Amino acid sequence: MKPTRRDVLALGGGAVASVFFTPIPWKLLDDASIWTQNWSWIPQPVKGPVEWKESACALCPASCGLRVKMAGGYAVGLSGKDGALCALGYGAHQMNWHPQRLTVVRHNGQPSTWAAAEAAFQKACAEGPVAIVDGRPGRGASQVYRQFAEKTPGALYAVIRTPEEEALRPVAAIAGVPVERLGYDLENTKLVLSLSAPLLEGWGGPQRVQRLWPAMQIIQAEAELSRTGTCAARRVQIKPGSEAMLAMALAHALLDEKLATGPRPAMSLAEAAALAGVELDEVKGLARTLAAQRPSVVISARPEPAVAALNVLLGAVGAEGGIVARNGAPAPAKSMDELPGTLRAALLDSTVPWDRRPAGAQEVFRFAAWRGGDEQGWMLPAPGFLEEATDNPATGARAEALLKPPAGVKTTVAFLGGELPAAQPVESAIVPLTCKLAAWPSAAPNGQDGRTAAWTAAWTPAVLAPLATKLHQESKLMPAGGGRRQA
Amino acid sequence: MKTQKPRRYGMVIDLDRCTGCGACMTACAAENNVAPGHAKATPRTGLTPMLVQRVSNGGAGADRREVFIPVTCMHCEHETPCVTVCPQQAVELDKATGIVNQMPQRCLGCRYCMTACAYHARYFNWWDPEWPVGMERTLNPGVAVRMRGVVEKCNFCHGRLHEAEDKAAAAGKAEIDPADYRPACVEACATQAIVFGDLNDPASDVRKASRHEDSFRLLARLGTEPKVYYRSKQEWVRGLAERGQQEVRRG
Amino acid sequence: MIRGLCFFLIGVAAIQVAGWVGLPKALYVTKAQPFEYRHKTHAEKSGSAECDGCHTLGADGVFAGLPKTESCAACHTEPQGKSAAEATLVSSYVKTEKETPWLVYARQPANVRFSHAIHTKRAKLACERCHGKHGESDTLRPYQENRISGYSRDIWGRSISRWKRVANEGMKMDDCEGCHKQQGFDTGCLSCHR
Repeated sequence: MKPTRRDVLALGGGAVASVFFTPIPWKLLDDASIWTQNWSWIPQPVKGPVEWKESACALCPASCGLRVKMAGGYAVGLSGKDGALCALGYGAHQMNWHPQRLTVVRHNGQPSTWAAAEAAFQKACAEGPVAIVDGRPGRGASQVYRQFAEKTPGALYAVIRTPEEEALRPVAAIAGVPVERLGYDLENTKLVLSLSAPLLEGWGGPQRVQRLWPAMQIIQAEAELSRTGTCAARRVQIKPGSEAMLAMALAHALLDEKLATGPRPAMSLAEAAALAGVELDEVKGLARTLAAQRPSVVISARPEPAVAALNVLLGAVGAEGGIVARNGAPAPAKSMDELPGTLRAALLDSTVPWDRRPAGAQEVFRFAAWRGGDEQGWMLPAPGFLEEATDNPATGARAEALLKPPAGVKTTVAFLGGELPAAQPVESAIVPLTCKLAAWPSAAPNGQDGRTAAWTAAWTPAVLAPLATKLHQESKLMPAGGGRRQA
Repeated sequence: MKTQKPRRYGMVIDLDRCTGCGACMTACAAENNVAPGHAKATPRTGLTPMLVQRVSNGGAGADRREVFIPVTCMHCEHETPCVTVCPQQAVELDKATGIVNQMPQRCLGCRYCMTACAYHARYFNWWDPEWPVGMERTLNPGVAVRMRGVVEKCNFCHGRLHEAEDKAAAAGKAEIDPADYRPACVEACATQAIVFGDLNDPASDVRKASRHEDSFRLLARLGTEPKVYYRSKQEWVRGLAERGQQEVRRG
Repeated sequence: MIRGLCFFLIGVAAIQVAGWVGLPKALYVTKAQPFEYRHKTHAEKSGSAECDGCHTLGADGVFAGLPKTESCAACHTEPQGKSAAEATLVSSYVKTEKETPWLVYARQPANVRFSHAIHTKRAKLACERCHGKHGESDTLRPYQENRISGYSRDIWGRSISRWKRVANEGMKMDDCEGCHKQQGFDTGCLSCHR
């Protein structure tokens, strides 16, 4: 029997008619839809039960307490332990996988080896003065750096001061105490007059002022509207770079109104107020508010001798809620800017911001977890976020590493051949500080000398933005640049 | 055995307290596995389930005033526009929680809901989510990663609601502890500008704040009954509420 | 005419056989587990037949899932016998501190949220309700993977028709929803998706 064309059609017809009574179309449809919901190329989270561990953030000196969500040995989420973190902090666990992560030694932009870096560093140590620059003094690692500097002939230990510390330098000069021991007792402050200080933008540790505000009143005197100015209870419009003039005008007003006693600045009230671009009545009103709302303090973004003197007149230095001194602070050290003009080499810890390096250093050994900066000299891969023990300089507490660093990474301590000392709690307490203003400081005010640009650069964080923060940058929330979304 | 009684989750955002720091946006992106912006992404095509907008009063110099407005899904309650238009039933107004939830895996990608949403709170995945090599290990296991071609939005961090429910169940309780369920943006706010909770609960802070005389809702005239409230003492800020985005941008 | 009908019926029969017999064979591929594991022996040796002795549920409601290699290493630092499974466990996983890539019979897609805490603690369901008598088994049954979706056959169920399934067979959304509706529980998308 030969099959005919008609038979084939009948066979096919039977097959088509009955296929709907088999699982073939239905099951394949179901599986295909599950397949399209679970593309194999879409990344999947790691498997494994979730557990929470405690640690501390090492991105900036604020050392915020962290609760770290761990799964399968990886950090998969961050949360603040006492209060919130900053915008950078919430994505910090992603930074270890940033494409710019540094895992090999680089020399002048070219890949190199640890052996070559060590040989070069030993040669530099033998030849002449080297400086070890510590971006965050007071940690266990800082002790190792100091010891290395002591036992190596010609070696120097220097620290980087934060802009907040820099701004306190004139106060330290008047009060005669090391700047390391001074700090703002903002937790007890009622009113802050900020002279262009970015109080709500991360000043003094990202979330410190934000946590205190709005219980603490902020008056912002500034030339250009900032985020702090937007949120402040009151905003005073001043001319660019005239912070010192406003401070001097306020000093005159305080003395005129008999709200304080002490020496007067050489510049007259009318002249200072005119230079600051503030009406006389407003100056007087501000002075009265400052005196009435004690404890109050005046904070400037840059080191201004006039602001320091104004704080002394106001009685804010040594008073609760003002500028106070504490013991238990790290031992005084040279600032990086005070290093000698010529240095054979400088070793920069990973806490040193990328744009900072000693001006006179012939060769730079920079520890960093991420590539960045000018890449001149040696770039030495350091452990990244949560990959090494983090010390809190204020309390001496240590958070052990939670994550395993990638191969090829070394700590500065290991590079120097040292060993991290055991964590030692810091006994820190506020100590009495008396301060009298003998004469108005003669140093020239800081304003209108082009230092604003330099100060902004110094503010750049020491770390790369995590990719999640790209959103944050794209939304133009950062200061400058108008802030409007492109239509 | 009983289940928890129906809740209506909502939030009140105090605009006078928002400093525009952006921590809520990063925390949201990290919590919800939002991939880094694609190289070609623009503010319109990127993914920002929580977006802080900066709006000014149009003044200059000393007269200039600005405010930061965190915008997320408003979880509209009445004839929720996105739910109404979805041909796929990929969005629903959850009866138990009041959360307008989006099921990206069910989404067709027609973007009808994005057109319907008055708040621009919905985002389309124009690209496959991609992380730099290795960074997928930081993904939050509590939230599924979305794919290219689907719409997503704020689900009030439902992964955290699940965790809170698991915790309550392990302790043998039917009701979750309100302290265990706080969306990432609420937790990330250093100035505690965002209050979150059950609007049905007469004792909750969020209910009290939502009824405060300073509180308002964006585009309330549309009658969609959003569950995200805002508050401000400033007259001009409250005046922004009924203006469209284009108007606000023009100043 | 009769001849045409015959061919039609042959076509019907052929496709019915292909659909009901051929499809399951063609669709699923049987995969071997990394090594043999005996639940029964472990329950006897440890003296505890409770599932949550090893598959723990934390106080915060986090279900630990399969024990980690470090739990195995507590006893199996050296092979406990001469079987191939012992040798594989010790050499490939315990010594290298790697996690065993078990093929999980009940693995659900990533967008599914299943809470062991809610189902076992609040609803008081026994583990066997979904996992069958896996805990008493003396061998690991064959793991059958769907070639298209990549998930275990257990999700759909043994029977290709899904007809007259036994209680622990099938873990598709329909099955979840069926029970939730029957018991009067929430069936919002959010309850079981993430």
